[in-house]
Amino acid sequence: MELKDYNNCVKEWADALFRFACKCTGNEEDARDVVQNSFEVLWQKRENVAPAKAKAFLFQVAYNQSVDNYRKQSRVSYKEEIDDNRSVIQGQSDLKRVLERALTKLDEQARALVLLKDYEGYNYEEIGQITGLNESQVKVYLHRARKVLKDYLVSVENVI
Amino acid sequence: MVNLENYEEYMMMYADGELNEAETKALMDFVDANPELRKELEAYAATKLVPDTAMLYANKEQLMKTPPAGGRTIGMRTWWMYAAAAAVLLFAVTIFRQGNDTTESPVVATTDMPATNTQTTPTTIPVINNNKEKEATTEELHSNPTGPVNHENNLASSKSGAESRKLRDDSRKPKTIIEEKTAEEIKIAKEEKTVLAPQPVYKPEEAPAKELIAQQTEKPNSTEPIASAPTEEISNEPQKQKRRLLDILPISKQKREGASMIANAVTKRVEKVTDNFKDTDVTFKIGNKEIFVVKL
Repeated sequence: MELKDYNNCVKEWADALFRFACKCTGNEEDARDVVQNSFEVLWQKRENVAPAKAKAFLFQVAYNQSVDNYRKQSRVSYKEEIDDNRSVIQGQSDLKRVLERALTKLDEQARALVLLKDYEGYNYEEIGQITGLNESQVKVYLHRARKVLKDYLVSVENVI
Repeated sequence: MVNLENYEEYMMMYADGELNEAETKALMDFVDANPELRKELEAYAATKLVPDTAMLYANKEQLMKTPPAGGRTIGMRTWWMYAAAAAVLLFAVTIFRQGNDTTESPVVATTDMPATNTQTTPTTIPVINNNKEKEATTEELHSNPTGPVNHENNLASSKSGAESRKLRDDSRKPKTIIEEKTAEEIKIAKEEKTVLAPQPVYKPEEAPAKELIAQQTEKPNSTEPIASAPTEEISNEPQKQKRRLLDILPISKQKREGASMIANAVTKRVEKVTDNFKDTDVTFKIGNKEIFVVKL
């Protein structure tokens, strides 16, 4: 990967990586750190990373930093209020707000799997490569998360 | 096939977007057949997150890398170009200086001497008996601008190789040469031939010289043939040095000798313009044909 490819990656994937890290870590400050570290690692490893693989590489680093590291350090304090304050935009649908809340019910890994699936459209195999899980594990964990989200939506809908 | 046991997994895979067209149709048909499950399917479908595109990473430029200063790279290229040019110039100067270090000018002797020899050789025997003409011929040779040739050594300068050292002493004693026996001179001539054999440029000179030596009598004016290669003895040591330097060059022996001849020819021409050498272009000619010009 050349310098030009790297800078293209910044333009192309910095926002998506930031959104992913923001949902994983629960706050923008940590998310910015994750993004900076991810691109720094990409720059250091650029000789070994093909441009076509750069996005997956970035998300792999970001996943490890925002999920594994934060989980090990027990620093994750995903507060509903944080997301509510940031993501509640005037005119935003109730469903989306409820879904943002539902996301806080997931652990870091399940949340990351759902984000990789829905935000980035990776298939089970690709998510497995990024997260280090096998395809079956991805499918099981993802379906558990999906069921949690569904149940929360149904429960809220019932309350409403 | 979708049934009550596995429909939920199908619904989750539907939400994941992992069902193909046939599986999707099968699921929809199953839900149509079981309308009470439609809300559950819609709930699973609603779990699909949509990215908030309004959330952007501020100041992406801080993440970008800038190339190293372009001027520096160009500067290095320029430096190497100058270095390469300097190396070529150094090589050229080395060749020139090697030529300057020697007092011989074999190429000049080749270009100039054959005319003299061709004129003198046929008349060698009669000329040998004519001291004045012989001296005139010798003077003509010596007056020929063949570089800083030491006239005192001209007599011995026709010798080359190890034999020439011995003859250097002899040259200081012309009488000794005159008293040399023909047999010894023939021996010298043979050694000359051996030493100078790799130098084709000398051959035209050596042939008449050898003939003259062979025909040489005990007459004192027989110095003419010996002087036919006036710079050989003087340039012996520098030539050895030059040969050693030229031997370093990765070129064939033939080309090496050619380079030596060219260097000597250039040396000769340079000597003619010594006073204003810096402001003079050096033109290489073979005959009247201009080969190339060195702009100085």
